[in-house]
Amino acid sequence: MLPLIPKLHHPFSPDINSQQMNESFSMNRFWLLVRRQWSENKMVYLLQWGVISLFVMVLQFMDRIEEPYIFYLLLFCLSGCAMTTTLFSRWTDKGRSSLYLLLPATASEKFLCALFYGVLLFIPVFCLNYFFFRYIVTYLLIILFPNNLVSFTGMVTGGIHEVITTPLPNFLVFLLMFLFIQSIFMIIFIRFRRYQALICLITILAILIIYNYGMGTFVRHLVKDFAGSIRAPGLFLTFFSSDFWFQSYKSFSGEHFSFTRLIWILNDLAWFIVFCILYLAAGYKLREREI
Amino acid sequence: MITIHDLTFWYSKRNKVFRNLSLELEAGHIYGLLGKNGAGKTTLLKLICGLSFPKSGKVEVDGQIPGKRSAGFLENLFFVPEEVSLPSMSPEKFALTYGDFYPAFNAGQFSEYLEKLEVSSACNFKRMSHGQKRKAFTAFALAANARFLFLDEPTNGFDIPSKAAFRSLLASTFSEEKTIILSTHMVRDLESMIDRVLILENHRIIQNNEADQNLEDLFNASVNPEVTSPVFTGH
Repeated sequence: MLPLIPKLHHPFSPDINSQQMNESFSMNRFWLLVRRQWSENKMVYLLQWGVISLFVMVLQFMDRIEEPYIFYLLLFCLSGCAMTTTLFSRWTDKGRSSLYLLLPATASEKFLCALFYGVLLFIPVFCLNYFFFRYIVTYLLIILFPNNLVSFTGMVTGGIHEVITTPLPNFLVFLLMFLFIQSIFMIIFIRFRRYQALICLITILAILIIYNYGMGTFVRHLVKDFAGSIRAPGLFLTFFSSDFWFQSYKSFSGEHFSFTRLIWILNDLAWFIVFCILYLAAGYKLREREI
Repeated sequence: MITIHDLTFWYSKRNKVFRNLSLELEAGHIYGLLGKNGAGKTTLLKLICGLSFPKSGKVEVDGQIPGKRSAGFLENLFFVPEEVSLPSMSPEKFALTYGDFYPAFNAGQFSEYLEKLEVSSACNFKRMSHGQKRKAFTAFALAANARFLFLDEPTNGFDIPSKAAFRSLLASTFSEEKTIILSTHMVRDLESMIDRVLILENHRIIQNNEADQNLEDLFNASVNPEVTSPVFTGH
């Protein structure tokens, strides 16, 4: 049996424990990354905030829009994607991307910083901004008009009531849609170069259209005695909702089809798993990114 | 120590940048990486930094794989690329934002180096010329006191007084535990700084010598053997 010899390190060799410490998640480095992200992009974020607020107000005033929620949803998802573009500094810019990739922090810290801004911070800030501008600022502007018959308190109470009474699945559809688009965007931004990214976006769009057409055909067969063509409200909403509404162009009568609650839950759960995988894939690709 | 063993790398399979390249670089030297345009100088630096990954073979920096880009490894390394692109902020703010990532970063040194290179610490990078940006970033790189410092075409965009200031700063910050690689084709600018020379040609290192002769002649003789300079003694 070999004698047990204590392991000795060269006095100038780096301390193994400190190296291991460097590789575990460091809150200090994470906050440094958060601070760096804000310092570099605060003007873009403030501008984005201004544009979102303006759009919310404009949409609120345009009360003749048939389905305003589709526009809010688009605004939510597009601004989320715009946020993603600032998270991974322009990859085509070699100088900036090498600065980012060689920043002393682990890939997981960098990726968590991206999720912190893109999901954890963006969603509540967007929602607060939306409610503030939709139910308070625009109402304050409305009461400035002469001869208006509604009181400010009445408007705000009405707004709060509208939010409270909206069913949870409606919010979930927004959230699922956002996570879906953002996670795909994140992977594309990290993994692909300029033209590859464009090709990838077109491919995904084509898959979505085919899927949507397939879903439409499938549901058309489920709805009995359906006369004429159909349309589903909000093209992509059909992916995340197990609740379909169809309109016959011939009779203009609405038809409603709903799956059972269990299928609703399974559908949402399945999508959440898909997003987790997509986000993890994005994080993995960040680790593998080359310049 | 930087160890490269049997490294093969390509961007497209038909054009290999390196084929079975092996090399060892020891601490305590300033290496001059010379080669024609497209010889692979920047690619070699990127492979050592972990910005690109070898197709086969191995690159190790102090026993660590650069491609893993671990935080501990990156704290000890600084790479100044040829194309410097900096965020819209002043060098002062840049140091506050990025300095804390490097444990050995010294803010006092950074201010001093900026002064020596004649760059204002309060002016936004957006309003700086290409040369000024490079000087500010180089000052930051030197003040980071990283053990491995790689500079790609370091004097590109520098005016003559700044080249002299850069040489003096590099000499003052250099110590025995550091490994500095200067990739350049402007041999004359850095001749006095380089103590070992690496010449890249035809996918491999054709010279790894002490820089004890005229570098420009050595370089010309190595890459154009038919036009042999009288100074070149062969290899």
